Amino acid sequence: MDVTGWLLRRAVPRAFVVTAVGGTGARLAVEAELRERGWYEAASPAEADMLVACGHPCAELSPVLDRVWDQMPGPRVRAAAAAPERAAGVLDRARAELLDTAAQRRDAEERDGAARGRAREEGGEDMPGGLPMADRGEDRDGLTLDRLHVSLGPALPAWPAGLSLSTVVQGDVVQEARVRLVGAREGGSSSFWEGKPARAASLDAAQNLLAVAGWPAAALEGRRLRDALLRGEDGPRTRERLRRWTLRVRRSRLLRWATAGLGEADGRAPAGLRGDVADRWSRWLDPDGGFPPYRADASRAALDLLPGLVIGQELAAVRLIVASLAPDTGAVGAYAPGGSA
Amino acid sequence: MNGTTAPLWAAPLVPALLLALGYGAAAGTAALRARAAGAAPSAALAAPARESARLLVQRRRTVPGADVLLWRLGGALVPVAAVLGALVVPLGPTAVSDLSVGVVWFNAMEVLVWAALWMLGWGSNSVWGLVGGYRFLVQGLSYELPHMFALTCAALGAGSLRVGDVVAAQEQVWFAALMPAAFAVYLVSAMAMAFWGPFGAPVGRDLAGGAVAELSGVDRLVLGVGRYMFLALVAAMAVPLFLGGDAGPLLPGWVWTLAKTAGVLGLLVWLGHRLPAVRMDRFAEAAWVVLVPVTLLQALAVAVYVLVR
Amino acid sequence: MTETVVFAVCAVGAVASGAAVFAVDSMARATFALLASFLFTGTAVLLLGLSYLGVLVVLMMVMEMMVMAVFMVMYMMNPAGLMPMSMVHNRNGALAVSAGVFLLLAAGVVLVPWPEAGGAPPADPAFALGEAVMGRHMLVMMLVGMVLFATMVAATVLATSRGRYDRYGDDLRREHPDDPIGGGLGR
Repeated sequence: MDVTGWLLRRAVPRAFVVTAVGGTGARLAVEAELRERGWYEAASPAEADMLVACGHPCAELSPVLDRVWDQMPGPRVRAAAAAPERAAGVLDRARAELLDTAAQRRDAEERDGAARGRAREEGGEDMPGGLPMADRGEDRDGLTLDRLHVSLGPALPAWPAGLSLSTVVQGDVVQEARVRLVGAREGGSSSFWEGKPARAASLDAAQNLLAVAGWPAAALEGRRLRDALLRGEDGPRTRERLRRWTLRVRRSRLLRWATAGLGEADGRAPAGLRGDVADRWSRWLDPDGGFPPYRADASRAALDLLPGLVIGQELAAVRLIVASLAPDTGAVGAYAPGGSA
Repeated sequence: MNGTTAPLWAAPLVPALLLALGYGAAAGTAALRARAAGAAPSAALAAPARESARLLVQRRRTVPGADVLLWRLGGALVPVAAVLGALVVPLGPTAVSDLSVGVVWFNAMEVLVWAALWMLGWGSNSVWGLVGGYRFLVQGLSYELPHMFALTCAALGAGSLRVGDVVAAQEQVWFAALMPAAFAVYLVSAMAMAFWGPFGAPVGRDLAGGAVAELSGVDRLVLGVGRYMFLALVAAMAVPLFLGGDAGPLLPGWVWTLAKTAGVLGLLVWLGHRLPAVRMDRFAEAAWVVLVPVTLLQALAVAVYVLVR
Repeated sequence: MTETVVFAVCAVGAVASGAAVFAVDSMARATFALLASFLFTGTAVLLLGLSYLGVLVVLMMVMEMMVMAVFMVMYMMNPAGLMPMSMVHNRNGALAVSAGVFLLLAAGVVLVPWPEAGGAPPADPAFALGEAVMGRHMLVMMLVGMVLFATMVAATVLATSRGRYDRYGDDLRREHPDDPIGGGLGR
């Protein structure tokens, strides 16, 4: 009896979704498919069995995807949803591939063989695992502590497509930060959100922030409403659900408490970015139609503001600040933040 | 009748009951999630079993430079601590072991999770894991003192550290009514020690899973099962401490214990669904500046009540 | 019989994991070896019927070791424990001193004329032990405890580099303190 196959057929897939710059449409389609099928989204490659790349990965993003792929334990399958309309078919095929136990066994054996080969080659190294030691530097209290170089993104859940934030962290406090776009597009800089309901754009930014803020249920419902608006459903039921959801999120004292006073942008920033994290997400949920900076100039300003706002913050705050700036990387074109184009 | 000790054959019943309650909590979470996603909640009943099937097939991960011993030990420690802690929780009038210091025993087993999560985060040799492990320590240092004072209030009201005595002392009035602040703080710290819901930051999505970011396969399954068992344990312990134990009309005591436990567990699951995560740098100050004095005042009030009663 | 076996396991385990602290090559493992040693000792205390003290040893030691792990990892060289490291300094001297102390204490076990146990153990051994150790000085002991606690708080306050003038400004008039990372209550 094939127990492995039997268990696999019962398993609900868990997908790790990576979005390339300009892949917003594909991401939304994949997210909607996953949600409707009751599949899950993985928080890290280690728990995933499906790697879904949305949009067209550039030459720089492909090696990142390869590394994520290497970190997935298996059984595993790799799928590419280049365009929104292909999402359903891509996921169907991925699921079928996942259930092919013979192919999965072959993949596992190949990997084990390759790992053994590498271990033989690297025998007798000085550093365990071939890893370099962390260097050290003064922290804000004047203690000499470890400095780790950590790159946030581009393959990170609930993170702007293609954004790479290279940081130096001590403990969980960011000491240095540099912003880079992986796969910024030359010339073509049309935002996915142009011509779409502004409310859907704000809902997308809001669900992203809620996911980072540790409120998965509200994030999921936000996605559902976003998808409804994008499909053009604007009936009384949708509007009522939207009203109740907005009310619940806006009234959440805990969310306001967690986000107030973080990442304060002063009056020189564009109007949509001013204030702290709580101010920014409140504007998105404003019934009088405040919308997130899904415009080229605001997104560029957000990318320029980013490093200054995250330095000295711990990782949870950094994630919230990035989610609240919500730069639309598809809209900025071949923009090199920091002015060194 | 309170405070009897069960025969030895009843010991395997403890993990079985915790598992069943934990499964219920996981299924309830899946049902709430399905409703939010707009899918049919009926499929949620099988969701935890399906996820277990997936993790059973998934391969274990090896990470370069990982401290494998501590890593695996950390994951295994969580369900073990849950079962050991449950030994003093009475079902009906009977606990597997009604220790004279049952309340302290529960507290000691619950603290083992500190070590477990730190080992998990440290052992995986990943930034996410390490930060997650440290986050749980900050969380522990924040919730532990209010939690201890809440337990102290219950023990003070009964004049004993024996769980059976605490139940017996609630014959007239439940401690949840007598010391509401202690009960509320207990519920908050219960979620915090099971890193559940608003206190899920140590395994948060913003850290790509935090302390469990690198776990896969059966290791992740053991930790996930252990976490739900732990949630069931903290819910079950609220019953003898604050909700009168097995007291209730008509039905036998063990039914009442289970019903009350399921009620508290349902409340915790619902709160986890309805609340966003609490940031630790904020909660730490609130815990020390607000919750500690509140529980101390509550303990003072209980002490005065016990003296004049 | 069972008690003897449990005691033997705990005694050997405590010494072995204590020795492991100096044998393992990572700071994290050394911490947990020390913790294991304390847990074995706690179980031995439980065997004496001092259940409160025994469980308290488990409770406090887990918390203490976790806090210690943070500081050890933070302040020591080679914190990540990736490279082999040693907890031993001045190996010969340390060995001589520790062997001497061990022999002295072991000799005490053999040579001291222990009193015969008489009567039944008290109902609450932890209470009886407290009375025996502190007796009439209980009030003094409790006051000493408070003084110790106040000293720790005062030492921490004196040691921090940031005082209230840094937080609230030179005339203490700032409404919200200027902290690198704010707390949850805005004070």
